[in-house]
Amino acid sequence: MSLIIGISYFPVIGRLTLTLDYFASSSALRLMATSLELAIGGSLIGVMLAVVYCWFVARTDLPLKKMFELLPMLALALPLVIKGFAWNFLLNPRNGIMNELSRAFLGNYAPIFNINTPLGVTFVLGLGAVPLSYLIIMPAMKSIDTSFEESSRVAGHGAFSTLFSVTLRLLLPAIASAFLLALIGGLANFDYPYVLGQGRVHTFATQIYYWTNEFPLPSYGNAGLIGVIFAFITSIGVGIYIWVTRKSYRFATITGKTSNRSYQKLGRWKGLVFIVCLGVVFFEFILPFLGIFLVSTTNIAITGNILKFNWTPTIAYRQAIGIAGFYSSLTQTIKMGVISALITTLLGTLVAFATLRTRSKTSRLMEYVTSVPLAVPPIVYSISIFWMFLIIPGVNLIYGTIYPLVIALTFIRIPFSTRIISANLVQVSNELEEASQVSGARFSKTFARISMPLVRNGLVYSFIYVLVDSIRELGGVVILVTPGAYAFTALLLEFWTAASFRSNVLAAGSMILVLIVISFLVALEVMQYVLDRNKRRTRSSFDFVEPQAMASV
Amino acid sequence: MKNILLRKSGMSTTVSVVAVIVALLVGIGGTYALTSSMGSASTTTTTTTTTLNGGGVSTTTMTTTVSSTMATQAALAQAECAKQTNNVCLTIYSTMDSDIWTNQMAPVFYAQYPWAQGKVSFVNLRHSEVSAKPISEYQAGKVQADMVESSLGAVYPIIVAGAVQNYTSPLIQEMNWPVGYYDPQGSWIAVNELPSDIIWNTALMSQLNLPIPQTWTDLANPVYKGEIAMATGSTMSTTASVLYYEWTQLGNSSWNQFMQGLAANKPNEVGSPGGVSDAVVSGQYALGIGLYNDCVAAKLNPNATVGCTLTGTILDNPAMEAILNGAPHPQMARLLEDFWISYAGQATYVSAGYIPVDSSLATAFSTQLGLPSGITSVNAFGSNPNAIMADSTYWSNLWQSYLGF
Repeated sequence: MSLIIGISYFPVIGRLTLTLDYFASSSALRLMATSLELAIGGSLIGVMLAVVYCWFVARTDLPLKKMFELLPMLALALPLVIKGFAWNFLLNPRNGIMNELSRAFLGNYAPIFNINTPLGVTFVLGLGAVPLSYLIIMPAMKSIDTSFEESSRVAGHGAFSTLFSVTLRLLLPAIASAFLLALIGGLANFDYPYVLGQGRVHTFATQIYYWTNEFPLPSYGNAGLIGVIFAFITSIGVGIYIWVTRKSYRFATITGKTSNRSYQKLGRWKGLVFIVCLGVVFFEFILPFLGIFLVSTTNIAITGNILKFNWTPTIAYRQAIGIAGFYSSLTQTIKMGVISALITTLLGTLVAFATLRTRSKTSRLMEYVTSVPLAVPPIVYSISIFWMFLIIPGVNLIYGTIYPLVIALTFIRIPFSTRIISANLVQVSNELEEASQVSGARFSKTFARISMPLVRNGLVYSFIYVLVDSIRELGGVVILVTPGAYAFTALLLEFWTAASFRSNVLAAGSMILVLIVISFLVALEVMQYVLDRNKRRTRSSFDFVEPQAMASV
Repeated sequence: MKNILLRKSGMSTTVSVVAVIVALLVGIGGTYALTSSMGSASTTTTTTTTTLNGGGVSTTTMTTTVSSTMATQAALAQAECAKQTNNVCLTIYSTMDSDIWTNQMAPVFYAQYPWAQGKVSFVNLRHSEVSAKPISEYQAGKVQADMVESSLGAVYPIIVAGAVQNYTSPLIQEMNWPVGYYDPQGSWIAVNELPSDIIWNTALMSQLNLPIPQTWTDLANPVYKGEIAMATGSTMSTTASVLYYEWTQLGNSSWNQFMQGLAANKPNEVGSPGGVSDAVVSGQYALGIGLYNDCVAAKLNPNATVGCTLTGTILDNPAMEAILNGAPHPQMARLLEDFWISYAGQATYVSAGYIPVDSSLATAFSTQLGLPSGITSVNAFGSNPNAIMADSTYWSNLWQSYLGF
């Protein structure tokens, strides 16, 4: 709203110079075409890879299945901007590690790889879409009753024919929602086009940022106008997504019926399929992670056709720690993450309960309202909040603190938090809450003593998810950072821009952030383990405790 | 990279150490002068004799005159700093590498003003952000930084937006600051020279069989197609200073021809002039428009395969600083400005490998700074750079129309 009011009523403050004619110009059409091209291409790559991967893992006798089920999630530990740096270290046309290797071994000068092109950005967006697509498609793939596929095979269809005519058709809703979500994410992505495009690949997200740094004066009006158009386009995608998935999370997939489960025998293809699956994980996580690690610990020099690796494990890390603002931005980032995770989880819980546990007419409206942030790309949030400072008197009191960033991060993540908690809540019967209320407890007491403990797994997941994603966020905070509230990803981006070729220091700084994210993810696993163990213990004595607990409320 | 190289080279380390010693000695002298002249109008003179290493021995004598006004400024700044509760009493937005501040300048500044230790926040930003951020914050009514440090291209838009306050340091007169290196109105003052150069990677040039460029117009030679790196000219920084200077030298018609040739070579855009030097040194591009001090620093590394041309003159686009309107700590900002243009501050630029504005220091350290004798320094934007900056939109559109960035 602040964006629309700002550009409508305060065009001079925001230096709004664009007119509606701009949107019919070739540069605007090119901007739209590039944004869509990258997002659609990336989503297609991501979803296709995820479908193939899920099918191999869920439907074949692939060895080490358990390992392959976990591996795609590793990529979530790498913040997008850091993946961008990593691919740049690996595949930039001049001194990218892979091009240097090809020069050393093949003797060619012309680069074999060039990641700094629209195609390169699409490729990385595609790899980035794999974990999300995997998370959506895999449960659907696992829940399909294999008797349908067996019937197809009995009817004389081969494995691939069965895959296309039966399995994929059954998966169509999951594939569609994965594609739409990846498409929205691709459109909203600021990190890859900015880092890998190197000023030559312009999308809506990067253009908004460029307008805010326009020379000689920043143009928040133009950035805001582009933001409104951008949000309109993404909201179409979100609208379709909500329509496709409108009831999916309201129903638990656990049924009492035992489904048949049989696996496609891979036979002599087993080795190849194993390599393909490993290849997906390799490109999605291992290679970028290794790239960052290698650059942060090794000096790579090429002399003639000899490639020298000089192992200097700590120098870059010491220099990274010496970057001005390193400690302050790191602590501010974690502080912002914790506060926004707490607020988001609290709001997400309230929304989830209001939506699923009340029969109010407003509950459906609330469900849609809390989905609205999905339609607003993070960088548009950033610019909208900045507009608030320009046009609403008194709001600027919080400018320069971490709170504008916390507000942005909270609203960006609310839809995700709501869905995580809702998914947990639908699996819990409301009989206990009803019993509590029948016993005379007020809603607040029932909520605190009965409902909350029952969904604590969801709360923990939501908290850690929002915390980790807030630490990884760049687009949503890049316009709002100030010396008093500097996100670590923004600090890395500044360092990359100012000294883009001090890659070892940048890589070391990136590795530190990756390790912090990994440590939070490990903490999540430990907490989940502890909660599950406690739950098992509680369950064993629950029958005994329950009546007393009920009596006490 | 500059500092890594400085650390790697024995000779450069010596130069660095000597320069820091000079700075410290002058600083200590200055501090002594400050304390002794507090509350009085008298001035103190400190003379430091320093032996420089690097093959031979030379002696230089520097004189520091510190007025009582500066002591008063320090007292005002200290009082202002003491009132702070969030432990930050000066914030600087700068395009300068943060390592330079952390390793070269801050230690000397803190030695002189120990009460400010750790209370200065240095924020490294891109050229366009150094303009945009203070303006945005000024418009939002919540100024965050106290001062900006960058080239005039970045500082001028902030002045136009009304986001700069005037301050005329008393040291301008005492240090005999050259005309064209400060604004008579007090909105900015140049703190060090930033000459542009053509930098090239010797290994890559020989591998690609490319000739060494001798003049700026050589960059239009088609043999360099796809090999040139440069920062955008549209922010009126280093690249713009070269293009503008060439326009004044060549005249419209020849300049147009030069620009068409340069555009046909499809130069690659790199984030900053420092980034251009880094890109060429690391072998990402064969040649580019960079900063001369970066090249000198890179050459100190015995393994570096780098060369640079000053093209007959020191084409300077000086770095300058301005104090922001509504700065939370204006007295601290004034103190840092005074420090930067004092001998102690100017010496920190020398130790960082930058050419100071102070000519006596520049001459004394000319060998270490790689300054060839007989070549004079010229402000690329002329003696009235404000006039050029007033037309910056015209010029930046012009560069963009040729180069696309």
